[in-house]
Amino acid sequence: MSDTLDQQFVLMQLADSFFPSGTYTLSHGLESLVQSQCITNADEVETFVRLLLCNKIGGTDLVALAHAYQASADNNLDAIADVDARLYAQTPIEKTRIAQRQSGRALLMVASKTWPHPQLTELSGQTAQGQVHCLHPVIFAVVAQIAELEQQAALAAFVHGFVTGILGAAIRLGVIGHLQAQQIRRAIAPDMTAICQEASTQPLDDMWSCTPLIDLAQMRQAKLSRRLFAS
Amino acid sequence: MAYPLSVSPIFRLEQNGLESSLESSGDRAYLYRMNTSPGLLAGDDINMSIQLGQGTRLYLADQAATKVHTMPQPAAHATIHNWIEVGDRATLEFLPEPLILFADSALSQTTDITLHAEAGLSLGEIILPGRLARGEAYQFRQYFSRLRVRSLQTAENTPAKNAPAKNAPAENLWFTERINLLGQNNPFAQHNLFASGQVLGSLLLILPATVATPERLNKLSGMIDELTEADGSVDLASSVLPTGRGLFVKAISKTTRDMQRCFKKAINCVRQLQGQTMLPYSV
Repeated sequence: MSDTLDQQFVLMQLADSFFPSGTYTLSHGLESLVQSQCITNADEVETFVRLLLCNKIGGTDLVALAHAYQASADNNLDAIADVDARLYAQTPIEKTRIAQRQSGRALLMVASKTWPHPQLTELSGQTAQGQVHCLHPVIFAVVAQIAELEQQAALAAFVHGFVTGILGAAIRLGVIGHLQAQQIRRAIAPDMTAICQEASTQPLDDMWSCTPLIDLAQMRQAKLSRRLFAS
Repeated sequence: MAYPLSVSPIFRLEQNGLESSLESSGDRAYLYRMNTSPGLLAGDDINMSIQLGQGTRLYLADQAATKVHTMPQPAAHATIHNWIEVGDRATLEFLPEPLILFADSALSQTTDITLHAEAGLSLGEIILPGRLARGEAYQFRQYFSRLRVRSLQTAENTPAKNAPAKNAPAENLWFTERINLLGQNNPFAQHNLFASGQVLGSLLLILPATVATPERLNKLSGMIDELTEADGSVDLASSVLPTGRGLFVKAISKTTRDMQRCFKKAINCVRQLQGQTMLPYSV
């Protein structure tokens, strides 16, 4: 099997919802917005996903991922921990921090058994001792690098997993159907490409976000009296 | 170089300032920040430094909104740098008047805060994306803001000289927020999912370490939630900060007055939690 084909299979394994990292339990504020009737149709779901991609995920998670990937490639565990600490400090919503940490730890556990590597062993030890937060984008970057994905492929796999997770949540919340989910997924492909390309060029100090209403929804998610999703 | 910023004489508006034994002694000073300039023009660079010594308390207010004027040259922008240091058992409450981003303006703001473990801070920000009363909204070019909160290095928490510099850049970092708010080129500006109102606000409520127990933070969070329910004109929510030392509040409203009233109520919640007197001139 060629290296390229091998990489593509790794990419599909990491990006598939079949991979048990727990991200399918997250709606990223969608559930709160659906409950408050701010999102009622497919157009609004599409705008919600675009907003998250262009004004939050592209500017923070992907930038952190790109830097953690490079740190892993340099075998620099201190730099990985630094990216993890900065992303944690720049995640103001408690529920998001908790979700990032839980899915990061789940990913680390599964990856340690699937792609055994000294970096993952060291990160597991540091996590157990509370030295790193083990946030999902950071761990995803390290796992992708160890599994020999190119950086752009790692970014694409992360974004694909993020988008399919939200669209899956939208289906489960009953706001869109399976066909509409596929149409949205296709429509936002240019945004997914653009943020992957931009993230790899951004300095870590320049991580940013700007989603005022979604921030409120994410803050309220934890206080919903009934909910399906963790975030 | 000019010095457009000054401060008013000190007002002592609290007779006693204290109502419970939770607090150390000392009256709170009330000050107005005054700006003799008409606002920020292209190339302006405003620097402000606030340092609160041990055991001091300050409520700082603004005299008027900060207007960021039109800057016709495409690359022009103004900058604001704020440095804030709050010492041991000191408290700063600072609710600036709104930033108004005029058409074709651009502003870059950085705020660096260092806090002692036993310091308290209530810091608000209100952004108007244009001269709303004349129907101007999101015609500015860009508003970029970086807020960074770090722990104050003291003899107790400074690592020994020979200690390994592990994770050094983020070591004392508590919280960072970076906003990149686009105006003219913002494809989401008019969408309700971006913001349900035109007035955007945020409020940082940090409590002294000995006060910031999970129970008290939970209580404060409940009090903030009640503000939303009582005052339907402001959409706000809060979340516990990464260090567990306080809350980060985000708010959206249709008018500045509603937002300001709500933020003052939130500061009163913090004061009530610590057994302090309420703000004078009740909200």
